[in-house]
Amino acid sequence: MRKIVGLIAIAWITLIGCEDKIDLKLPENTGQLVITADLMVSDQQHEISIQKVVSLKESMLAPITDAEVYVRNLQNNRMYTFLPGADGVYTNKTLRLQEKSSYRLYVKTADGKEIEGTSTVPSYVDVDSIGLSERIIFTDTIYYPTLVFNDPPEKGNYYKYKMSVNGGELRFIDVFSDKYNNGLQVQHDIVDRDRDLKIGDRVRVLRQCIDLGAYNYWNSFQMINPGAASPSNPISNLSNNVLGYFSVSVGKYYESEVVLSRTRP
Amino acid sequence: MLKPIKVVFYFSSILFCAQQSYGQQSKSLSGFIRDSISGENIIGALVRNDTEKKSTASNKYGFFSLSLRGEEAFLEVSSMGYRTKVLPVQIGKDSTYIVQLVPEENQLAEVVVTGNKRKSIKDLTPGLTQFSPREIEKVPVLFGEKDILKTIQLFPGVTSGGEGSSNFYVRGGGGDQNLILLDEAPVYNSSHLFGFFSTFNSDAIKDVNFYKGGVPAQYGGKISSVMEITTLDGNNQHFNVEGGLGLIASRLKVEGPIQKGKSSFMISGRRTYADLFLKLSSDENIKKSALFFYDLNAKLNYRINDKNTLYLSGYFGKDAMAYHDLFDFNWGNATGTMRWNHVWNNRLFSNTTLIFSKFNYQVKIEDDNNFKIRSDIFNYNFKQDFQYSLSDSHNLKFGLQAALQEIRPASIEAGEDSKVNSLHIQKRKGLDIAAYISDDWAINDKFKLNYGVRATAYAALGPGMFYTYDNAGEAVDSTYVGNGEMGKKYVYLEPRLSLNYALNELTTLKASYNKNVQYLHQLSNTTSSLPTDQYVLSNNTIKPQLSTQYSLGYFRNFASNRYEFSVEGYYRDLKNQIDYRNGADLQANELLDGELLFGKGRAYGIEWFIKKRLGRLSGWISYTLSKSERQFDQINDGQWFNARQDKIHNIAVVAQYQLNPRWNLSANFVYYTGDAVTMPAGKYFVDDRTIFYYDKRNGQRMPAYHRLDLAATYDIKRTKNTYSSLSFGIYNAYNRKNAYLIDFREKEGQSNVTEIYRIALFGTIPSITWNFKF
Repeated sequence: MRKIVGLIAIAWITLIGCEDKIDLKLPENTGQLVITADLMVSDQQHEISIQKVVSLKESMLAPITDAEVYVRNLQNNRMYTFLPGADGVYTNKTLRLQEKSSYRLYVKTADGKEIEGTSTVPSYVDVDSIGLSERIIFTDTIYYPTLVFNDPPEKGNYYKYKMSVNGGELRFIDVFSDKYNNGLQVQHDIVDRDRDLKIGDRVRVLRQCIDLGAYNYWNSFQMINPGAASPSNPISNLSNNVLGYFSVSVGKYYESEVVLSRTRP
Repeated sequence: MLKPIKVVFYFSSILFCAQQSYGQQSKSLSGFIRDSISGENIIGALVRNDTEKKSTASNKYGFFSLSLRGEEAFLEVSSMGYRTKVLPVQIGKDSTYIVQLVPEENQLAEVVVTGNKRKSIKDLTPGLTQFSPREIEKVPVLFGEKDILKTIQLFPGVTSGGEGSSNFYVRGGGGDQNLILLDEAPVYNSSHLFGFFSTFNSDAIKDVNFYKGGVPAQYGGKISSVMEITTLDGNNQHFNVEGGLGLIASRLKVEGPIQKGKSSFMISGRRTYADLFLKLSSDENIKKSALFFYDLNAKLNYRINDKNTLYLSGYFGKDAMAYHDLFDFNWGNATGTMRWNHVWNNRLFSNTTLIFSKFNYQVKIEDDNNFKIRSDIFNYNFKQDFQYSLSDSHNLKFGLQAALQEIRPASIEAGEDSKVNSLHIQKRKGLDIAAYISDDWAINDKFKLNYGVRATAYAALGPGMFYTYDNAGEAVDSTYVGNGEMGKKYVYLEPRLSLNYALNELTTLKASYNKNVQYLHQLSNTTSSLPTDQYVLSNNTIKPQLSTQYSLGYFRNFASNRYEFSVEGYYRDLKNQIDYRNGADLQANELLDGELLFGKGRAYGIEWFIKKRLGRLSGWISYTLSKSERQFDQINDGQWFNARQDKIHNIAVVAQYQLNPRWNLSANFVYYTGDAVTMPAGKYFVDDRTIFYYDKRNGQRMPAYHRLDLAATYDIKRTKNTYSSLSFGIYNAYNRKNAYLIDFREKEGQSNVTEIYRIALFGTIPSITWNFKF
C-alpha cells in the first residue's frame, strides 16, 4: 500500500516537475566486499559472485578472485567447494539442492575475513496461467507478463522475478510476499519500470520461490526509491557486515512473446 | 500521578496567600477591547497606565484586566492599525469596560513614536512572534495564495521543508513537533496536495501567535513550537463579502451580524479548480478524474451579556485525487470547537472549551485488486483556563486540560472477489491530562518574569495488545490491556520560565528555559510529508519525546522604534527521538513498534533579525546560523549525524514598498543550505542491476536553495469598508531550478553506467489574483 501512495506522489511530482541530468563531486568509499549467491534447485552449475564496491563513475564490475568459497548441506553436513573464475564468479557442478533443505555458505577472503550465511529452499508454488497484459496509463501503453496462481494458506511465501528480453541478461524485476493476499488467488504483474516492452519482444521470466532472507534483501533494495528519506544498504543475511546475500531457491522459467491480441479490431 | 498535582497545588496556595497580603492593596478593572467598525475582539492590544507604569495586553478574546492602586486613572489603549485611545476609568467598580478602537484610516502614515512610551507586548515574551494576516498580506507567495505556513518560514529559527512539503522545522526540531491550533483545535494535516498549499485560508484568520521558545505553561503536547491561529469572529455590525479569484484557486468569505452588536457569523471557503481543466480533456479517463481541495471555516458567536460569550467554530477541509475508476485517494481534516468565556469579576476571566478534531484518509482501488484502505485519528479535548489578576504585579494563568486521542491505523477492506485479504490493525487510544499554573510577575519596572509549571500525566489505554521487543526488534512478550484499562503511564513536570530585563527604554535582554513533552508522534520515512504518514501514541516501547531548551537574546529598537533588532541564541537537548530500522515495514504492521529505533538529538543556533516597521519601505531580514544533529546506537555506527532538516544557513529578506497610494511592490528572497541527505559512496552489480553503496547517514548536502519572488498590487478602489485590488506575482523570478530531489539511476539501455539526475518542481510561475471586499 505504501507503494501505491509512494507511486502516486512520485507520479504527481514527475508530472509537474522538470528533470535535469547533473554532475556531482561525491566522496568515495570503495573496496567493500559484496557476495551474491543466488542458487537454484534446477541449476546444473551453481554460481556465486564476489566483487568489490566500485566508484560511481565505473562501468565494470571489480571481481575478487582469491577467496575460498564453500557451501555446506546442513542435512548431511557435506561440504562443496566452489572454484574461482576470472570474473569473480565461483562455480560448482556437484552440489544438488532440494526443497525444504537448508544450506550454509562460508567465504574466507585472502586477508582472513570470514563470512557465513544460511538459507532454506522453500517448496515451489505452481502457476495456474501465464499471460500478457496491457495497460494504458495516460498516453502510454505498457505490456507486461502476468502470472496467476493460488498462494498456499501458510503465511510466509515469497516470490522473486527476473526477466530477460530478447535473449538479454536476466534482470531482477520484483519480489512479492503474501502479506496482503495470503491464501488467495494471486496475480503478479512483472513490470520493469525502467524498460518498456514492445510488440514482438520475446521475454523469458524466471520465477523463484525464495526464503525470508532473500526477500528482505530485495524488498529493502526496492524501498530505496527517490522518495525514501534515508536510503541504506539492502538487508543482508550474511555475517560480518558484508554486502550481498545468500539464497537457495526453487524456480522455473516461463517464455512468452509480446503479440497483439487476436480479439482486437 | 499524585506528586505533580501536589506541586501545582502548593504552588497555587503560595500565590493565593500572596494575594491575601498584596491583593487588598490594589484594585482592578477589566473589560474588552473591540474594533469600532466590525465589533471584532482585538487581540494583544496594549492597555497601559503611565502613572503607575503598569500595563497588560488583551487576551485571545479581547479581554484585559489591570490591577492598579489608585481610585481613578487614565488608560492608554493601543494596537497596531488602530488609533490609540486614552480614556478615564474608575478602578474597583464591578463593571466591564468596552473600549472601542477606531482603525487607522491611512495606514501608510509614518507614525513617529517618541522615546519613553511604548514597549509592544511582543517584547515581553521571548520566542513569541505575533502577526496578523494584514501584516503579511503583501508578502508574495506561490500562485498568489497567501499562506501563513509559508510566511512563518521567513522568520528566524523556522526552516522550510522545501517545495512540495508542508512540514516546517523550528529550531532544529522534527516536522511532527509543531502544535498547530486552529481556534484551539489541533490540526493534524496542515497542507493540501502534498504541501503546495496550507489548509489555512488567510481570509478567515484574525491573529497568529507563534512560539518557538519560552512557551507559556498553558500550551503543551508538542515539543518544538506552538502556532496558535485565531479566526475572525464575524463582523457584528455589517454584512460584508470578501474574496479573491486566482489562477489556481478562489476564495470567498461572508460575514455579518445575526443580531447586530450581539451575535455574528463568519463563513469562509476556498477551492481549487485545477480539475475543471481536466473536464476539458478529450480522453475519457482523464475526464472522469478529479484533483481538487477545498477548505471551509465557519464561526458563530453570541454575546449573551457583558460577561458571557459563546463561540462555535468549525473547519472542514478535503483533498481528493482520482483517476477514472482506477484509484480514488482523498484525505481531510475536520475540527469543531465550542467555547464559553465568562468574566467572574474584575480579576477573574475563564474560558471553557470543548474540542473535537479528526483527520482521515481513504484510498480506493477499483481495478482487479478491489479494496479500500482507511485510517482515522480523533481527538476529544476539554480545556478549562483561568486568568486571574492577583495584584498589580502578578497575573496568574492556570487551568486544566484533558485530551483523549484515538488512532485507527490503516485497515484494508477487501471488496468482492478482491485480490487482497481484509486486514485490521488494532486501534490505539491515549489519555493526556494536564494541569498548569503560571505567573506573569512584574518584579519592577525593568524586570519581568514569567514562570510556571505544567504537570502532565499520560496513559496508554486499552483495549489492545502491547508487545515488548528485544534489541533486534523481535516481539518477545505481550500484554493485553482491556477496554477502559490503563497501560503504560508517564508523568512529567514541564517547568517554563522566561525572563525580560529592560536595560533601558529601547533595549531588552530576554532569557528562557523550557521543558516540553510530547506523546503523539508521526512516522515518516519519506522525503515529503505524505498524508498517509502514520501517527503513534506513546506506550511501553515508545517513550514520550522530550525537549529542554535554553535561550538568551538581546533586543533593541532603533530610531524611535522604527527599527527592531534582535539576536537570540538557543540550545536544545532532545530525548527519545524516533527513527527507523533499515527496511522498516511501517504499513499495516501489528508489530510496528519493533521497527522503530530511539535516540537523542541536539540543536543549537543563533538567530539575527532586523525589521523596519514603518514608512514607505518596510520589511525585515532574518538570518539563522544553526545545527541539528541526532545520535542513535543502531544508525551510522552510533556516531552523531546531521538531522535531515539541518540547515546551517537560513536567510530571508522581505521588503515592501508603497510606491504611491495605489501601487504596492514587494519582494522576498530566501536562501538556505540544502538538506542533509544520504548519497551513494560507490556501487556494485547484481542481476543486471546497479546497487548503490551508502555509508554515512545524511553525510552529503543537497545544493543550496535560493529564490526570489516579486509581487505588485494595484488598488483599483479602496474605501473604508470596501476594496478591489489586483495582485500580480512572479514566483521564482530568476527561474532557479532548486532540486526537489537528486537521485541516482542506471543510464537508459546501459545498466552499468550511472547517471545522476535532479527533479526541480517550480520554475518561474506568474500569477494574477483579483481580491475584493464589499
